[in-house]
Amino acid sequence: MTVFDFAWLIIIFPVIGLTFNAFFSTRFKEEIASYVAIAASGLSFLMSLVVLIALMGLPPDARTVHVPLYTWAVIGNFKLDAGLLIDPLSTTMLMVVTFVGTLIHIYSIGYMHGDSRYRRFFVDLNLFMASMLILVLGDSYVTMFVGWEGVGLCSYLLIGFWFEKEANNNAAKKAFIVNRVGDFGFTLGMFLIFATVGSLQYADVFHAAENGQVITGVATAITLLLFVGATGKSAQIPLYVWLPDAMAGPTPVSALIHAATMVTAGVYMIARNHPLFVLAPFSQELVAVVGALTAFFAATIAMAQFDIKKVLAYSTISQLGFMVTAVGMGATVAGIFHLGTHAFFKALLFLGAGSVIHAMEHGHHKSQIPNTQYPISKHDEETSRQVDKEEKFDPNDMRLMGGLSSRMPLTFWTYVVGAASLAGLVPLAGFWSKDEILGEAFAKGMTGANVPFMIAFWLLLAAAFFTAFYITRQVLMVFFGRPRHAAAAHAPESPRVMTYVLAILAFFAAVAGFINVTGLFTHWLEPEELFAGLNLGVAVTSIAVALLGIGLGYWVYRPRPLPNGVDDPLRTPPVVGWVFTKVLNPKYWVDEVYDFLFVNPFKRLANFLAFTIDWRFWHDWFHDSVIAAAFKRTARFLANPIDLGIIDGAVNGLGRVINWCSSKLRQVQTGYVRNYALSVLLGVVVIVAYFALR
Amino acid sequence: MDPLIEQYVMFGVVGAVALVTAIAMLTSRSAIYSALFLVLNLCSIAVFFLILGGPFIAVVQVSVYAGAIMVLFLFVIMLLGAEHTPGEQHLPWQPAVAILLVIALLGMTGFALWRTMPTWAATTSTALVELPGSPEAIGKLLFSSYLFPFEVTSVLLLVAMVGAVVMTRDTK
Amino acid sequence: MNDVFPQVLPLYLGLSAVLFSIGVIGVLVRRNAIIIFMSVELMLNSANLAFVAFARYLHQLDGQIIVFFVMTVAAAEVAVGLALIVAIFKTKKSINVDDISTMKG
Repeated sequence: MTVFDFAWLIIIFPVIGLTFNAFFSTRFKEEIASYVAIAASGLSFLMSLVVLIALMGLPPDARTVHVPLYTWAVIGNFKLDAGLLIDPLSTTMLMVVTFVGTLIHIYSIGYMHGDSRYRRFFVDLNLFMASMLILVLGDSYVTMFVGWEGVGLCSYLLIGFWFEKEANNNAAKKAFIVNRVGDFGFTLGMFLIFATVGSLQYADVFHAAENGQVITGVATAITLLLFVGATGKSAQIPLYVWLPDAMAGPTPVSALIHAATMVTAGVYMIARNHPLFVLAPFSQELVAVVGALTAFFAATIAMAQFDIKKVLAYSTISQLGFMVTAVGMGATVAGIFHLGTHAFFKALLFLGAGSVIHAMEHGHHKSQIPNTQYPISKHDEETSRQVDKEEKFDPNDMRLMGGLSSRMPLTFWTYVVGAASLAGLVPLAGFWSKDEILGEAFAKGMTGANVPFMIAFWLLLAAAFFTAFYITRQVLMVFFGRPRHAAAAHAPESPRVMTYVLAILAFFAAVAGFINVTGLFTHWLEPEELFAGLNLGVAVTSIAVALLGIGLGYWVYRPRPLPNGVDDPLRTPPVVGWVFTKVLNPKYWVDEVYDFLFVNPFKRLANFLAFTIDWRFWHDWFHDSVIAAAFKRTARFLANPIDLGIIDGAVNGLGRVINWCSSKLRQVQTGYVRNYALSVLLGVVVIVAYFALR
Repeated sequence: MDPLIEQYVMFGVVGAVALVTAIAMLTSRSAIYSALFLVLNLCSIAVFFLILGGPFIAVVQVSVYAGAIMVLFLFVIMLLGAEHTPGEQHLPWQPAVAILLVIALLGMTGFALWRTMPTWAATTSTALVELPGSPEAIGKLLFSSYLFPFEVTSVLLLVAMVGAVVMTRDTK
Repeated sequence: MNDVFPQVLPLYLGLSAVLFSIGVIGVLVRRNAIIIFMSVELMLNSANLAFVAFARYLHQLDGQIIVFFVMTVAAAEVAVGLALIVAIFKTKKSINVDDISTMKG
């Protein structure tokens, strides 16, 4: 009986939490639901910690613990077992998911306060935790897929949490459907694995892979199919389109699911399948290039967005590209390292953005109320007049923000830490992990003379530049300068339950990188790998690139008055302005292209099937004219000829026959006495005959 | 003469009379003639009784049956003026069917008689051949073994009398 | 000396049967109520004959006693029957039995 035999509790705690919240929490006041959910999440975290420590106690080459749970299905010869795989990779993921998850649960108390479906939010959050933990802890492709689908479901539920607005519903549907396309690839990959190896357990598959039972072609096919699934879940080209729309959900959801945990499932999956990717160099190169391209592509879009969360969404896509490139190349440690640090600083950035949005909403509400308490500056007078005229207030719009550094100090400072970490400034966490990826890319590309990897390196470097640029732009637009709207002018700092979480995350966003300065993390994750240490050239280059980006960002976006009607300084220069307005801001028109190619034809087909075929053909014609008419005819036939004719005829006929018989028999009663005497004689004759002839 | 021949001759003569008068009674047009023929028939039956050793009932037959009952009949015939039967025949087929059935009845009776005849013929006895049916003998039997029927019969006669009176009473 | 009567007994019985049959025909064929009644009397008499014949055959008087009673009953019956006929005649004004057919059907 070891600690690992209780590892399933990690998954069960959130399940208990969500069951209680779903069925019983309405009997208590709403805060109880949040406490239960946080307790469940926290207990998962503690259990994960215990499992981690237990695993660390084992010698490095024995750190693969397989915990079988139960037999799920038996179909003929095929047996499907459910079990857990506890090794350094899964425990690392466990720590990230449970720690950041619990913090975000706590943050949600403040953010979701007063929402009419407060309790349901926590049910969904716990369900997400359970699914993600199943995904991470599973020991087979099928178990992972269960979790994979589960987190997809929770993504749908949580994106469409405020389902009264149609836009939210559409975003949820988009997320789920685009994910599904990826899942199709994943499923095909699983089929191929099963067809090749005959089992879906990691142990069996990787064993077969390492023993050369899987030929390169098949491995390439499998890995490419699995990668399709990863592009869906981890928002890479071409299936990333759902993630920016997913920002319609509450900000804690964006932080947890679409930054820290769910979207990293694809990265985890590629990392897990390293033995297979090793057999398929083509896949590795493709994955690396796609990842790097996504990183660059998304970073350029991010710098032209005005919604505070959309910037962070594209940033996430970009950073996921970094991670995907890393694990694609085989640099699993670098990828997972960045996954961890990214979880901290991206969650921090999102929660900070949530804090800002929250403050903007409160500020808007306050500014609607005419008051004489607050000193109104001339600027405020103008902006408050603006309030009277506007129809739709968007708290996410960065063009309405500004000057929030003085009004929300804690949010501001934590945000800056997160931004710096993202940009990759030494000695913050983001620098260490991003630099490791760049170093690996450079090493594999340059020193290994691999062209795709080299291309990936340059793309990543460019992406790093743009990353620094856009995050500087965001910080300057949101926190510096003068408030450009009454809401920003009246924005309050957020409650402590939110800002304390920001502080904790900021701490980790700052120091988490030190875990691998000396290769401790590398040794933990991949004991056989040699820690290469820091490539000084690459490090200096990346810092220089980051500083360049920040500098350029400051130069463009420093607080200064803009010409009338211009909301962004990049709109004015001739070529850059055209690119900004016509290409980057509309996100390269990808959504519109997808609509044209896929969505609209599909909708037309669906309409055709629904209205023409289902309604007009099936219902109107077939059901009414054919089936209903035939039925009516049959009924009429049965009613008239059969029921009235035959059955009634038989019954009436019986009456008539009896009538006829009795009318005939009546004639025996002639009324004549002599006839009666005759019948008496007849009777006598009969009796005498009987006696005489006896 | 041979006693058997005696018997046959006596039977033949009286029997013929009885039969003829019966048929005549049946076929007479007038009811009076039928009644008179019936009287003759009854008298011949009385003679039979005499032959068969029942002088008492022979006389009773003549006095009660032929004397009282038939006289009653004649009274009623004359009272009602019922010599001739008016009305048309409603049942033409009735006589045919009746005769058929009667022939069947006769046939069966004859058959039964014929079958049992040998047992009778074989009986011999040395009993009295005298006339045992004297009033004294009948009276003895009547008032000893048949007392109860005798008393009941008298009640019956009373009831019949009362009934006859009641039925023909004017109910005004 | 032997009694020869048993040899003629069948004749008496035969005669009795024939007289009875004649009586039956009379009841069924004649329409005059009085005639029908008289036929009934004939039938009773034939039965009396049979009784007395058997009494003679069995050398017992019981047959004759029975005839005595039959005659008594016949007398009573005639009285009542004729009273009935008279009563019916008062209403129907006819002694044709076919006219008493209101129980038709």
